[in-house]
Amino acid sequence: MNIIKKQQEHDAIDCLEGMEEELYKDFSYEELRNIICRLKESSVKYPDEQQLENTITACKAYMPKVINIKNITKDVKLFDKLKLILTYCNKIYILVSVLIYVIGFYLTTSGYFFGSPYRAAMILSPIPFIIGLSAVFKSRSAGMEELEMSFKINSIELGLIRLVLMCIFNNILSLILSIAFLYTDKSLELSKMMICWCLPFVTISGISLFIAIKIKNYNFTQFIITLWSIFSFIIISSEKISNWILNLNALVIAGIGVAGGMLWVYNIILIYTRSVANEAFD
Amino acid sequence: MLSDEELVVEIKNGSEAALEMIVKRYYNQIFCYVVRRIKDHHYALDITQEVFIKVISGINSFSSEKGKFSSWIFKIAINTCRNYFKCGMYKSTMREISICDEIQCTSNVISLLEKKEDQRVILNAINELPDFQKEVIILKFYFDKKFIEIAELTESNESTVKSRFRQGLCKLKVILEREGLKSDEYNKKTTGT
Amino acid sequence: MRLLIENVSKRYNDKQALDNIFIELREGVYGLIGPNGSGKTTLMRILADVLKPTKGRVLVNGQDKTDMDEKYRELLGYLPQEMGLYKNFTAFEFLLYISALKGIEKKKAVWKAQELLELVSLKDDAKMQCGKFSGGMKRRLGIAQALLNDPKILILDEPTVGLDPEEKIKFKNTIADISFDKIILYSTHTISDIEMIAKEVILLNKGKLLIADTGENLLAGMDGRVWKSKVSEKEYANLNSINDNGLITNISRKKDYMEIRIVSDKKPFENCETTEPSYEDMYIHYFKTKGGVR
Repeated sequence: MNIIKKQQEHDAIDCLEGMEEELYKDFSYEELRNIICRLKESSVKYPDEQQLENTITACKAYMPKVINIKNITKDVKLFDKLKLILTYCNKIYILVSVLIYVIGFYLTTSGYFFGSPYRAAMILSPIPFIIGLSAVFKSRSAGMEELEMSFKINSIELGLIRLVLMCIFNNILSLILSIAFLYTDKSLELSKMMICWCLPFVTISGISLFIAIKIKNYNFTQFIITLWSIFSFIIISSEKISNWILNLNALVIAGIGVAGGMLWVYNIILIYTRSVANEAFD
Repeated sequence: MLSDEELVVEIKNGSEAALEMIVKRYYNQIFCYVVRRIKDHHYALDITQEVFIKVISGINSFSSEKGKFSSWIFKIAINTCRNYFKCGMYKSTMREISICDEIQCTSNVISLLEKKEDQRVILNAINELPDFQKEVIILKFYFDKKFIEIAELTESNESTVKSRFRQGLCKLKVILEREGLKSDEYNKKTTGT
Repeated sequence: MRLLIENVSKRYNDKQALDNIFIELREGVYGLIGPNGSGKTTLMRILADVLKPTKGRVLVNGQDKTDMDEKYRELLGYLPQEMGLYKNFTAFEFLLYISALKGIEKKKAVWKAQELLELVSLKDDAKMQCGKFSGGMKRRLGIAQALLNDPKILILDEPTVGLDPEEKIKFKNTIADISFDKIILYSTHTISDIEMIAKEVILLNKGKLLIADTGENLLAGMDGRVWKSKVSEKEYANLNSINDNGLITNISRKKDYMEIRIVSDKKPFENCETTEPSYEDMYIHYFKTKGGVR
């Protein structure tokens, strides 16, 4: 027994991994060995079996659910992005846009307003887009833009897809309106109708988008609609102006169309680089 | 017998049997560390349970590339004990650690009681050490960890660990002397049996 | 995981917001401290892929985050300093929407949203509209959205602003619990936040990296530089006459004397003794060494 104890005492110092030299400045060999042996001798009572079982039971509640968290995100395709936009788009917006066109059609064909279908098409064409602009910049006005830029699905991409969808929607409505007019009045020309809604659409939407990007207040939709309403009123009241537009030279029309298109491209570049370079966060 | 890492994989797949095995494997060790670290037996039980709950809750974040499971669980225990103090959860009136009754040597009753008293003094002495020194002393003497391992577990470097170790031992010497346990008296007691 | 911010600079027209920042981050909590305008938010925005640096790059395990593109953002959880909400969504709908933007499948999103609402104590308000939330509730919802995709890189810009003390403690404990396998960058003005949980502290000032080290080492560096003294009102008023190296970090008015705490490289005056440095002392030392508080 004593021999074993002496062996243990001797081994005690081994645990010091060569620190003895340093420790001899503060301790004698005896002191060091004795402290260490004393320390090592003390033992504690293990808890009983019941405690162990309690812990096991408690832990079971925290067992991982077998869904593998690593696969929680999946590859996102364009289709998923479209689905996302459509799920979260404002259904009221679609309803209001359609309603405006229906009312416009009725007012024109019954002779109460607009005067001619050409004028109606001109005036109505950019309205759904302008209304929809506020939705595209919704995240900025809600203060969510910064956060959304850090997400896997890029908010810039989403914004651009929304814009494209709105344009498509707007133009489909205009096309349907044109066809409806043509159906009611056989004297109308399709090409003229198309110019009536394409030209204003490209230019006005381009300008509105440009303004929306440049100015920081994104609740300006009302402002633009007011402006456009005033302008429209001028067109309606002045036959001179609307006839002038209708009889524009083909070259001029092409020129305006191209200018509008370029403005659009510029806008898209602005959206992309502006958000990326982020002057908005100065 | 399955290795720790194999058991972890099983737990990730939902095996409660693997959970039982890993808890049984480490329960006493973790308890021993915690109880020496915080001194109170009942709180030590709660904290040991908390450590295992943290281990199981976070099991998906562990992988064997990160190192050994035993190091990971020890780190959690060390950090949980540190948090325990920082959150001020411990109360000043604490119950004493139960001293192990199973003393190996077949000495007479008086020396048994003396030994028990000595152990109480030792445990209290360790408890008086500042936290970082306490950690190193416990991991060195009761878990036979090398300094480099202790450095990894306590997220510091080896020289810091050695310096804390030295300071801890010096302080222990002072405390033990104060308690009347002179270092040379130890010899007389042991040779008496 | 290794996140390397390699010589990152950011310049606006005439302002250098960040200047040549070089930091390596691994798993754990990093406290980012600095006065307003020090570049903390700019750095976080760069890491959150909201801003592009003018110079330098950010690498994840050696790969440039610009090349990784959406794979990088998959790893992110971001809580900006100012965050709005979609007022018409309920808390639950909001989290589902965010989940969709994070590319999380609907079923998993539902489960994760429920789990996180419980974690941030918003389970009972899950069906309430976000527009009706208090400031603290909005913040907690923000924390929940940051954790939806189980991010490996968590960027928190002043996360505890607006939370009451109990919520703050709960939040810090949550962060400490999950930090084992995540890189968490946590910016705050409240030093005590960092003290409890950060493994390393990063100090930024005027766009430059001052120092990045463990809290322990930073405090050790303050050893012998923090003094305390008991002075009478009169003596305190006369303190202007001592040398200009000292900065008073704390004044405590007692019954018939004042206890002051000074940060100074040498003993400011007689009747001073050194004391253990705190994080506040360290903050004052690093950020107010020129034209400091007197």
